[in-house]
Amino acid sequence: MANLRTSIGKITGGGIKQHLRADLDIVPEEIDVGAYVLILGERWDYYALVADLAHNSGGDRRFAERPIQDRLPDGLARRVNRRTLKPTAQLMTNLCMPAGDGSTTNKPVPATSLPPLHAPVCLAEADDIARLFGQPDQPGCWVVGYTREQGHPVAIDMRNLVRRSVGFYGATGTGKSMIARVILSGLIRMDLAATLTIDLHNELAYDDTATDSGALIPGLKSIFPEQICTFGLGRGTLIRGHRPDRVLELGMTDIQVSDILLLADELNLTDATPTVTSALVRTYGRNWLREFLQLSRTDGQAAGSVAAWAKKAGVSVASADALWSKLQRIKRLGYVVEQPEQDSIQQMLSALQRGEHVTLSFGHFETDLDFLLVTNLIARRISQVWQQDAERYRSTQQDEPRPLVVVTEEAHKFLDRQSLGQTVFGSLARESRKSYVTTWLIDQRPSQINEEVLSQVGTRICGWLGDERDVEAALAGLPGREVLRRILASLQPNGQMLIAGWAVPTPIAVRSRWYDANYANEVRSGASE
Amino acid sequence: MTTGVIIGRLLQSNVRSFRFTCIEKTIALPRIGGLVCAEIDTDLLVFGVITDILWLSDELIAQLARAENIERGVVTDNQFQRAAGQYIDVLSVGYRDTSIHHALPPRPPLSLEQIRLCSAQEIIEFSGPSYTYFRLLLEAQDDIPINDVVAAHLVQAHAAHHAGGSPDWILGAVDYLIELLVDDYAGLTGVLEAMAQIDPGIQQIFKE
Repeated sequence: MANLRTSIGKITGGGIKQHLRADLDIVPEEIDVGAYVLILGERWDYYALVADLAHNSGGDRRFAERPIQDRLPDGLARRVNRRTLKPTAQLMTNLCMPAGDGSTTNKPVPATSLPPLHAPVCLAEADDIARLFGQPDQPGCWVVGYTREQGHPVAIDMRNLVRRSVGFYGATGTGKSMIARVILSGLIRMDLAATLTIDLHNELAYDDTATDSGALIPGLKSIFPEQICTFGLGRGTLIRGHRPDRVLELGMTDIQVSDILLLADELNLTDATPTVTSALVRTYGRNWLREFLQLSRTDGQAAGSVAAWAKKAGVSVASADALWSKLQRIKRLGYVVEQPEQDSIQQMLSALQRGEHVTLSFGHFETDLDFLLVTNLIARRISQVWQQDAERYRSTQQDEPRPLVVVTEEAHKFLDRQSLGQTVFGSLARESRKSYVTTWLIDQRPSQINEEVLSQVGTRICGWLGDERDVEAALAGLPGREVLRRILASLQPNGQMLIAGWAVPTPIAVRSRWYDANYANEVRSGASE
Repeated sequence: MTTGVIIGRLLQSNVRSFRFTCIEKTIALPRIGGLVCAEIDTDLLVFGVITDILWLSDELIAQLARAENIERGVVTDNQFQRAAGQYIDVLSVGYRDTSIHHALPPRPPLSLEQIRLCSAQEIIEFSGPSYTYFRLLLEAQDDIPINDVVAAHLVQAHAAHHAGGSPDWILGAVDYLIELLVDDYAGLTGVLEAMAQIDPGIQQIFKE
């Protein structure tokens, strides 16, 4: 294996803690921070990540200080420069394989020794990348991108990926949604987990058009017409001109007091609200919302009025009045009905329990109130069902629950720092891993997401981020953050991602697989790569 | 193998260098940077690179130089027939016994031994396998104009290799030189500048 490789430099110093140093024989522009290299030792081949690059100050400094082009013909000067102005790379190594082991099945092991000085350094080949991350044609692996230097496919083991939550971060236009779609479509194609995709802006389920290029962005439904069940919020809602497979309506009895309390900011609820709602539940039971909203406010003394109920229930009339008027917003929501024709939430849950793939599009319901109410309500129901299933499995060892992945964009709306994870969705993101539920959070402002939720995100797939707080949040808890920070800074503003954390043995920067009509055709035809 | 022409005889030598003078008809042949060889004994041949060519004066030359008019025939006679003051200095860069060695010879050639200007084939044979003899050139004494000597040698050797079907020899030679002189900006740029001056056409090789 070794003698077929082309050396790009050699080890000239350093160590494991402070990184290895390699003098490179290539021009600086031929390699990026974040590139993968192989160091060919005598006993071990070491995998290493380019953590930093610098101009070499060794040799006669005058070669750097005095441009030799002024004295020599161009070609000759270029040759001299290439050999005297060699870049130096800092290499972070943490994995190795027995030297010359060409096996594609043996996995690298943690590196605990140093490669010898002058050991050749080579760019990692496609086989090396496949050995580290996953074979593109191996069942369960999905190509998510390509190495930036040589374009080797980088496949991720999806079985591993779904065991922990995933954060897709990146500034606007970096391609985080696109790589999320690539990975999500891979997951659906392999059918390794049930998926619920919360499609806040009606972009994911059906075909869309890129705002900048005008190119077609295939919807999941058009790639997987049979596997995807689309839900649309509210009767008669059209999603990108399509009638969804099913309609999601919330019955008033579906809405619990806790669902309303989570909307305190949106509805401008007062501190007295919990007292009033407790009294409502005592009076009306699970029909509290429907019965309360049917009360009248016109006559304070008449039977069936809010005031009459308040006096009877022993709560402040003013507080009850205020809550009644604020909850009228809920009543006016087109998808909240007194009695839905079908229990569509249960239909959704049943589909997910069967391992099916669901998208939920919000149609024209695009306020934060809509997002919070619906997602929290669904999250609560999912949480209940999957916890029960997981507990039953743990006690009986029968019918292991099928993993469920909940995908959402603009995650900070449900998981913001202020809510401190009080939302049901927050609990789902934080605590449901053991119940076989993981969340995929797509967000451009990870610093706005609750810290506890962030800490539960196992895999980070991160595009360029401009705000230092977002960088800090995106990399929180990962080892080697300084190196990762440099790699993040080196990413192109579009289509390049850093993948780090749980699902990968070591971080890697990739050029994302392009999600377009061609990709859709490849997926339809069953190709992983 | 085609051997080069005999151009002179040895005057003095040590293992590092030797000095010879030309026979009458080859006085104009030696050039600095040229590769020459001399037999030490039957199976031992020393190779050297010409580092300097000197013409020393004597009383007759001094008198003639002071004269206002000299006939061309007198000049030619003194330049080629007398040639009393011609000395050609050579730096030993290797030897051949059963194979080529880029190292100082085990002993110097003897006085009056014949000196041959190496043929293109001999240049290729000596310089082809590796460039390690460059170090012996670069270790030369300060009074040798080594930048120009090395540059001239590279140009002549390149011509031989190019004609012999190895135009890329010069690329490896320059790379090796860079490796040796990576800590010597003045030395490296001096050699390469001189090389580009001697043979401007050589830069075409580096453009490709």
